[in-house]
Amino acid sequence: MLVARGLTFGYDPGKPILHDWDATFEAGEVVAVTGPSGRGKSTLLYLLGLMLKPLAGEVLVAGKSAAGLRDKRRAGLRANLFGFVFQDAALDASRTVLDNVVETALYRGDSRGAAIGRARELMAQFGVDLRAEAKPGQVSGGQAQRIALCRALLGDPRILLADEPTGNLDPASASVVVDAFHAQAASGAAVIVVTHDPSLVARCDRTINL
Amino acid sequence: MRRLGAVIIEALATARAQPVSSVVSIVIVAGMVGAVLLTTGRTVGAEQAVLNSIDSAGTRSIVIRAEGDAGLDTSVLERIGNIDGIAWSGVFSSVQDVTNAAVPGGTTVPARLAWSDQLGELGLPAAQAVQNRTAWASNAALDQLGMPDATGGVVTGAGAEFAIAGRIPVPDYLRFLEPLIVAPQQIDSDDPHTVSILVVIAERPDLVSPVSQVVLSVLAVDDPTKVTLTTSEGLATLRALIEGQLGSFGRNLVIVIFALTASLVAAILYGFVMLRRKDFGRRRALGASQGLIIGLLLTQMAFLSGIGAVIGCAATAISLVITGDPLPGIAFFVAVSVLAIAVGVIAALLPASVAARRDPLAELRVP
Repeated sequence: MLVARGLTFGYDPGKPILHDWDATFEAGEVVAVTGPSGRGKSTLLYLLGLMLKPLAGEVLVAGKSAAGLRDKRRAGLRANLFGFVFQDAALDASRTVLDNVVETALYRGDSRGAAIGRARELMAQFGVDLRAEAKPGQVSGGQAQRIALCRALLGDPRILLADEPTGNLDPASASVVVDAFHAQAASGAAVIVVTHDPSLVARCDRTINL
Repeated sequence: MRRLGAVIIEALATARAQPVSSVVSIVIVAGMVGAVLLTTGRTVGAEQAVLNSIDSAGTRSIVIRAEGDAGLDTSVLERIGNIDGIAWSGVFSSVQDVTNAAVPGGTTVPARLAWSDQLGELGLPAAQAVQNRTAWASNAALDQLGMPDATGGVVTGAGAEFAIAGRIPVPDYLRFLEPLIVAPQQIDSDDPHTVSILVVIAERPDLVSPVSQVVLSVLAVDDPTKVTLTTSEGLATLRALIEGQLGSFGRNLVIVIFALTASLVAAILYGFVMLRRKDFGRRRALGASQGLIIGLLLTQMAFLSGIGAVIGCAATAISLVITGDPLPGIAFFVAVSVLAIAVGVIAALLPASVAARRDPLAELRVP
């Protein structure tokens, strides 16, 4: 599903934090990427998510190289094939919870009406449906991360990337998130999770240490 | 089309969700429109007032006077009817002194027979609808006749009588005939009458000179030396000078004001983009292309500029009315509004392009 081939990247080209890095992520597995701080875990996630361009090497998405694609095509791939869960949920504080969940429909070109229906299903599934019209500032950290998960799952992504998704969550909320990752993997998606959380690592199918 | 609609809806929703930046943007654009209208708009209004004053003095009029034996007659109207660029034409006979029929030996007032296809524009009924012995008088003439209610009759020295049917408002281009009493006559091409004055009004001031030349060529008089031509060409030249100089001043002022306010809009928008850079980074990460983010911001700014333009126009129009200043006209309001929206959108281009280039990693990483 997702292949990294010879990836090299560094903010200072003379000091790459990733050098000639290879990995393959198959559909149906949840992979943990772990390691000490500063080793480039988050950077790797953003490279795999086509938000950064590697200094060398390439990322193959469903067998096709994303290297050299123009911004519009890369954005299209992110909108249509990828789902993202960020460490602090990264919700738009000025919009309602429902608006946040359906945000990516605009980028995919999906109908907002249909997206709202799917969003309400997901929000009910993750227990945040009662707060649809609330603003993100009015919900707890655990609820915010579940809302972010709903947003990531709205387009039924084939590749789900998560950056420290349980870092600020209590064990119960973290468990809900990890269960969702496994459910998405079971549907045929590749799930890649950057984490320091040993309990999350323990529940992943495979671990990559940087 | 659905994508465009979704972008518009998202842009409007974003504008509503950010009331502070939206209100500030609206206020700036409204201020920009107000500044233009209160400076250039007043200039345009004043220019229009000056031009109207000059026009009222007869910038478009051509007056030809012919001595009695010059040979000018009513048939000239038929020939003039074939000339383009003429708004009105009419001919008048030589003066016949009349007195109030009810006051024998009263003040004599000049009266003229009049022929024209456009008598309606003088507030008179068409010549065909009145008898040749019916006349209309101006206020000045009625005062001299001692006929304040505009009813009665006048009589010439030769004993011909005319019934006064009403009052005639004298247009600026006929003021030289005051005090005026006119008796409309039917035009009979088989029996032309000798006339002494031909008045032609050109459609525009700049047509006075060429129309004069053509009119002179179709007078068909027996003795051209007994014909004199008076035009308002000098006033037309003055009018063109005023129009050109005030117009140029106004345009320069508009450019300066729009440039200043566009810089202000761009600076403030840039500040708001910086404040919301995390949002743009998130949008980029979730799949928004750079083009989409630019489109969202420009649509949002176009919408806010539109509201600002409407508010600015309304507020300025009200204040101009209250202060009694001349309004520049609806076309000027519309033009300034369209320009304000365009300036708002152009000013948003740089901040929008900065927003579209936010690095998702830099904005979304938590230290």
